[in-house]
Amino acid sequence: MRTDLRYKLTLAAVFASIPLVLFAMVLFIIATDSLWIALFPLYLFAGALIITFILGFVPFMKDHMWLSVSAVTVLGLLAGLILYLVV
Amino acid sequence: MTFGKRIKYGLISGVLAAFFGSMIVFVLSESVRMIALTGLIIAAVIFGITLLVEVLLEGKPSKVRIPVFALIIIISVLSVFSYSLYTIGKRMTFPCTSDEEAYEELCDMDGAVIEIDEEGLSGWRIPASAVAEGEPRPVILYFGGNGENSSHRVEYILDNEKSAFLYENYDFVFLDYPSYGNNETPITESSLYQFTLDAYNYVSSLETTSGITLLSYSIGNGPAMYLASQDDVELDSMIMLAPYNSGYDLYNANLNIFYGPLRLLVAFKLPSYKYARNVSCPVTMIASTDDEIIPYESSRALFSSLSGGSANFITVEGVLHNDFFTSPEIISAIMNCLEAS
Repeated sequence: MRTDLRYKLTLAAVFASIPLVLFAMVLFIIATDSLWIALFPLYLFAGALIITFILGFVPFMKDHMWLSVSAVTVLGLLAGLILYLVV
Repeated sequence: MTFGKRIKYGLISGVLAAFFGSMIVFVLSESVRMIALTGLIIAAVIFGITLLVEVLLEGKPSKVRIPVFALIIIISVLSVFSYSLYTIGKRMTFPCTSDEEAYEELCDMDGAVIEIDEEGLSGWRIPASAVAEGEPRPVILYFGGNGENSSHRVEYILDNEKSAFLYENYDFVFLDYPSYGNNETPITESSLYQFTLDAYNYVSSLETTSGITLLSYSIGNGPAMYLASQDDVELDSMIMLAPYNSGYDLYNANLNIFYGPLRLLVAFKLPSYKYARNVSCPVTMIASTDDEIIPYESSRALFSSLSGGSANFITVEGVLHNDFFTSPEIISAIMNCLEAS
């Protein structure tokens, strides 16, 4: 069983994020009345999952998966910023 | 690296990217910033609890860890579900509208309307057309529906000949609820009640006011009933269009789950049935059996709560909720009530 701090922090972050992602979808529906925009968190989730999965095959990145997770999370943040600026 | 590990890292980055990507949008958007910050506080609390539980359960077997983490997930989802329901209900009950275009047009109508811009109050007064300037006249103080703001409704009344009776012998006053129109006060149940008192004080302080009749429609009936129940408030009469017994009835008309502890999730309780007991002025209620927003039974229940003064309940058929101001039957009933008061 892994007991290092990074594992604990990640698990806690994931636990805290899951309900908030559901909440974000509800908030998107209220704020925009658009189902397509309301599904934005789902697009981010699916996109990040696929990109991270593919990065697992890249020679350098497959040995530094936490770097991939961080990079993809930042990409998600940027996508949110773009959505805010566009919509 | 195994397939399972790739999926695991993919799931972690998926959740984190969705979380941060969504939250940045909300924090930057002024209209939902406070809601998002509350959501972030909930996330921080869940984060802290999970971390604490992990430390406490370190080295414990899976049969202990799994149920505890399952419990955390259930509690987290329930908290977020409750908060979402509360937030949606609040937004649906008072969507806080404004109409800049109508406001600008009313500003250009010199003399036809008077803008009200007092501390905590914004709206319009249409002076009685058949009463000489400066002469005393009664006032209709209007509390509108949740989709209305003063500029939009007043412009409609001025443009619509059928509504002219509302300002023929009466001044017609419509003030924006908190967070509506130009009123920047945050909307809560208590600020709504305070608003009704401020509105009454404003109207009664006008030198030309000879009496006040409350006209309320839909959501406006709750605040109107509160105002009418106050000891130091004197009214000629009340005309209530599509009244409701309480905020719970309104919520349950949309989603029939607000019973027992779930009643705590109702942001605007608006218990008109309690206030109705203290109302002493003549009251006329007009309700439609075909109202799809306010249940007819809720209107009847409120009527049965009235105990003082004369009361009249008028039932109409075939009128939908948004057709109250275009229904000849209802317009005629309002005119009769105004003539009688």
